[in-house]
Amino acid sequence: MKRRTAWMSAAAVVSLTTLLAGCSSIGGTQASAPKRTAIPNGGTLVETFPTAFGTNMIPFLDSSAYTATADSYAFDSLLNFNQKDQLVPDLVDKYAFSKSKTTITFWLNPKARWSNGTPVTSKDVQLSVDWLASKTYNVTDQGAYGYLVQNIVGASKPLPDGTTPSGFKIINSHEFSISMAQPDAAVLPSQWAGIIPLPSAVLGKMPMSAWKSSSFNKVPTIGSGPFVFKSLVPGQSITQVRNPYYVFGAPHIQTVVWKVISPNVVNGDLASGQVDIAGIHPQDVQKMKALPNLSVAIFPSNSFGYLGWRLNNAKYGSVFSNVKFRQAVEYAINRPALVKAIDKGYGKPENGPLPPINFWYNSKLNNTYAYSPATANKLLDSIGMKVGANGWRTMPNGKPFSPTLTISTGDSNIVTESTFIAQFMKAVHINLTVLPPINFNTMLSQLNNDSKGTQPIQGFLLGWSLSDDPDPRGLWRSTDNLNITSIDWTNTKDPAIVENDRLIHLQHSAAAFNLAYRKKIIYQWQTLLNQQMPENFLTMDDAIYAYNKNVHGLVFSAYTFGTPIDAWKWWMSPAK
Amino acid sequence: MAANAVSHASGVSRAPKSKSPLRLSIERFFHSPLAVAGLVMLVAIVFVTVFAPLFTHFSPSQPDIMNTDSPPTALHPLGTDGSGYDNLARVLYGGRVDLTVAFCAAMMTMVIGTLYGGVSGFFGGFIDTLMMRFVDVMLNFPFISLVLIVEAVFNTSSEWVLILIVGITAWPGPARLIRGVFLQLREQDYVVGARTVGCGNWRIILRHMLPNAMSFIIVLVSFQVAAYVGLDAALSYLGLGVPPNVASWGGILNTSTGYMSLRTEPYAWVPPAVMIVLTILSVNFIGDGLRDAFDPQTRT
Amino acid sequence: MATYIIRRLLGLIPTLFVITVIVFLLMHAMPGNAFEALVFNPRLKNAAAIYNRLVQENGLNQSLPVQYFDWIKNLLQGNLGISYSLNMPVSELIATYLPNTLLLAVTAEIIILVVSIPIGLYQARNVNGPFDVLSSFIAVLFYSIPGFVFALLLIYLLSFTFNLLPSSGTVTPGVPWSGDFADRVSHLLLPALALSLPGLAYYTRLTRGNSLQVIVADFVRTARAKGLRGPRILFRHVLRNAVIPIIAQFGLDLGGLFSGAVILEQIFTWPGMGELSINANLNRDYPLILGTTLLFAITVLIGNLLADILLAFADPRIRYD
Repeated sequence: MKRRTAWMSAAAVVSLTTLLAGCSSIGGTQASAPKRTAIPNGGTLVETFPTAFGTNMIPFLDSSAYTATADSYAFDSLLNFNQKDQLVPDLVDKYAFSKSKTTITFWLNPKARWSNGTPVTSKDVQLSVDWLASKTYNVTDQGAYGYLVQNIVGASKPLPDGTTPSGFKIINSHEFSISMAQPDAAVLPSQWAGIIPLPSAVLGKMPMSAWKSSSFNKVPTIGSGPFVFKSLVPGQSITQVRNPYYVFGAPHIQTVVWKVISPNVVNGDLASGQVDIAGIHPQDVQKMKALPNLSVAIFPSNSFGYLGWRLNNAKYGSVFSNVKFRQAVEYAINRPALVKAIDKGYGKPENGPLPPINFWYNSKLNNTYAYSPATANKLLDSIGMKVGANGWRTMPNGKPFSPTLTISTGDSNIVTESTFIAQFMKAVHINLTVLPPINFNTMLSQLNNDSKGTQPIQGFLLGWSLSDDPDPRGLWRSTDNLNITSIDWTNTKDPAIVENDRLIHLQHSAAAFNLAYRKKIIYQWQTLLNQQMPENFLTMDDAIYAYNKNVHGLVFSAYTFGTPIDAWKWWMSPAK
Repeated sequence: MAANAVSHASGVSRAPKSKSPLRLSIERFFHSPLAVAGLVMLVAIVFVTVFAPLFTHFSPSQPDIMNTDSPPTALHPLGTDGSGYDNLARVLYGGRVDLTVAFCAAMMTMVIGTLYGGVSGFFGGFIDTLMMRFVDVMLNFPFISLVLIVEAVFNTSSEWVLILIVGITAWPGPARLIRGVFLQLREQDYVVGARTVGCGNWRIILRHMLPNAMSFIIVLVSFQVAAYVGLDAALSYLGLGVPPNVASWGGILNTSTGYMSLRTEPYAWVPPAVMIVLTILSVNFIGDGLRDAFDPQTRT
Repeated sequence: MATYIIRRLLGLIPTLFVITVIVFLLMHAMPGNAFEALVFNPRLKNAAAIYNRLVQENGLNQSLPVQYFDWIKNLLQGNLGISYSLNMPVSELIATYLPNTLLLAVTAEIIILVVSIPIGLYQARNVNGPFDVLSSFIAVLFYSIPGFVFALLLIYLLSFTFNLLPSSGTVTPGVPWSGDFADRVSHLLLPALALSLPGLAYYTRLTRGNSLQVIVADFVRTARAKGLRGPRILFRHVLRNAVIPIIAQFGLDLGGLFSGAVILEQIFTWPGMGELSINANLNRDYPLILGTTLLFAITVLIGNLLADILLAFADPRIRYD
């Protein structure tokens, strides 16, 4: 938990969460309908952010993950993901692929309404697509979500404001279609599902260049989500009220308040009832459970931490890029012990590029690389890293081998983890020194500007929080920018890398519209990465929330950050 | 504060001939019970930190993954922290960092500050104006921002980096104050007298003015040391203190002041807090004692 | 004196120039820039293109002198630029955060003055008496507790245990009485108390020390010899002379007031200048770093000027040639 919050606050952009929930399947509505009469309405729910949120409230405009979280309560997207990572209806209740798989037709839910009672129409979707494709959004406002529409025919480059990409067509007020040039199995879940319709009755009347300075951007009082903005105080709080016209029925809770609260005091606020729900640290679980007014929810997260090596490092790159070295490191690290010591048992060892809870996870990876210093030693011996007179292993060429580990500031758990990893390395005679923590941006800069391998960074600890869809593009291909932290892109002749790129391509090919096929390919890809250990996968830490016992009906999902999902189902017992 | 050192021109010289002024001051210091208590306390604290291995056989940098966040046991009287470090060992060894930072940083600032402020205040005029403009420039960098920048630029953090940063950034404040004192001393009769009999500038500064500014400087030092003992704690809160694997009182305090720790783990946060408070208290008592000893008129 | 003040005010301009140049160089010496984290967003399939565009749009690919003079040019037109991390005009951000900082700082300073001067005076009058010893001890004790620990203890006691005051923020959100006078005062008390306590100890000692100096001065002895009564001497003669150096010290502290109290602002979620500038540094938000630095510089310089003028009033023998 702590790792993720630190990660988010250090670089909010890293964890953009466009697909945050706020609603669920229509089936769910019907199932719970009979109970709804008995549930009391009203109450104020207080949730928290650990650091300040950005103040551009129009969806997609701000890079702050907290702003996106608050926006996810106020604006619903076309489709959503449930707890099992399956696409479920939201503002769109039906969609269909064309025969060629290049066009998808969407039907808006007739019940989908803005909080002022007017229906959500195709024009609202069109406005959002236009906005995401516009010059103002992509260039002037420096928006980062343009990728949501870039696969639409005609939108690969920013368009003049108000131009609709030719691949988007309105059929009628509640029906529209979107086309792509090539069939791509990942486009719907990873891009188009996340398009958030914008109120054309308000924003459509303004030139896009005026959106940012508009009062609607400060407090967007009209929304399509369960709770819409009422007021906000920059740097400290956001107040939202229930949307009586919400697509799945009006929420029970009257008001949601988001407060910025320092992590050092948030537990006290929970205990004294000033906050109703917040993430907590694993070491506080038992103590929080013992408090009479609190419940604790623990569930897996779609994220993991890893130990990376600069494979092109000028000094030690020849060792780091040896797959046997990385395998030895994986054997040398007691991951179950890390889970026990750092997560207090609330987590799992990570075996590959997807966490064990993920819908697409290949469970054959379970129990690989069981802790075995003996195996690690054997592997290291086999690549010629002999133990020298001083007790430390040398490079195969006999030169001393004393790599460093770089970590970022702001998270005590990362420091603890680095201490343990240095211990584990010591046990297999690797002299790993943990450097003093550095600012997150410094670390990123060292990673980004290291084509010669001369930056001080050698080993490093980072984490990934993943999107709902497992599409590895952008992160794992040998041509991606991000793989500077993982696969050795300098060595594309490696058959493993060719295989990696091939599998990634196949998982979104036309054939991958078949779920079983896509699953099979993604399984193969995970097996490859488990064998290659492009980075040493460490642990998946559970997400842990404490919440007040007077809050009921919370739904937690591994795929959603910072808040439970299905806000319209929650209710609070009346104050006594 | 600036008026402190004024108007007691050469009280020290009225002492009987048999004893030197310094000797008299030392005697006066040891007659003050609080000052002596402070000295004893500080010596005791320095002793336990320097000779920490006598009191615990645990190393402050030996993690234990199998025994993290343990409550007090016979083996670990103050429990262990999240990395399995023994809390007692951390507290004992931790003082080394905090005390080194506090004393070295205070000395560095005071030496630079006294020289700079003294020269500026003594010469006055154009030199003073120019030197004070530079102080103005230096005073403009919020300390914490500067720590952040320096640590980013040098890509490291350690107690020596901290001392260096404090040394190069914190002197302008004291320099200004000391310059104020020297500006006033400059107009005193005995300085004017020394100048008329042809004493050199440095002789006047070092032999006549500095001793008379001493009581003021000593109090300033005691406040500086006090401020810097807590410095690591404050910087640790922002993640800018000494590296977390290095034991320091500030670091321990920082990791154990969450609500739940305050409530349920006093064994973890009380000892470093008490050590910090005791150190600052004793330094202040010593500072008070020294001031009174060097400044006979405050004994009225 | 008037020409001196005018000269000093004109002298601020080159000083400000030097300060902004230094800050400009320092911030560019920090590795990384505000947009690098974008490349690490797994959801962006074209991160490198976005990154390159942002660097270009914001002129980060130009040489440092060009960037600096661009900033100066905009500054002279009253434009402080747009924050990279918060995506808002820097001037608007300062206008939002500065009032919070000032409210907190001024309240804390008032608490300090109102409490420390009487205590210091009383201590000096009965020096080494039981009150002097006890209150001096307590003052040093408060001074020796690290500020953030003290803040956490205050919250722990007054907010979490006794539920008397709210733990964070400047107003209660989502209630009809949000932002009225009582609401603001209840939010202000805890942080102001936490901020004032170390200063309280310092100024008490300052007042005590200065008063002691004045009490033995010739004019007080003369006043006493003339038969004036104790309280009159204390307030008319001692206080007036003892307080001037304290006010001069205030001038020096003035700049610090504007830069805020970073740690307390974080603990109490008090959105102020301290946190704004620290986050600007952490995020390599160049326009915001320069904007906040400029504000601090101006206030520190004016504070210094005030201190010098007050010092001149305090002792007419100080000459300003």
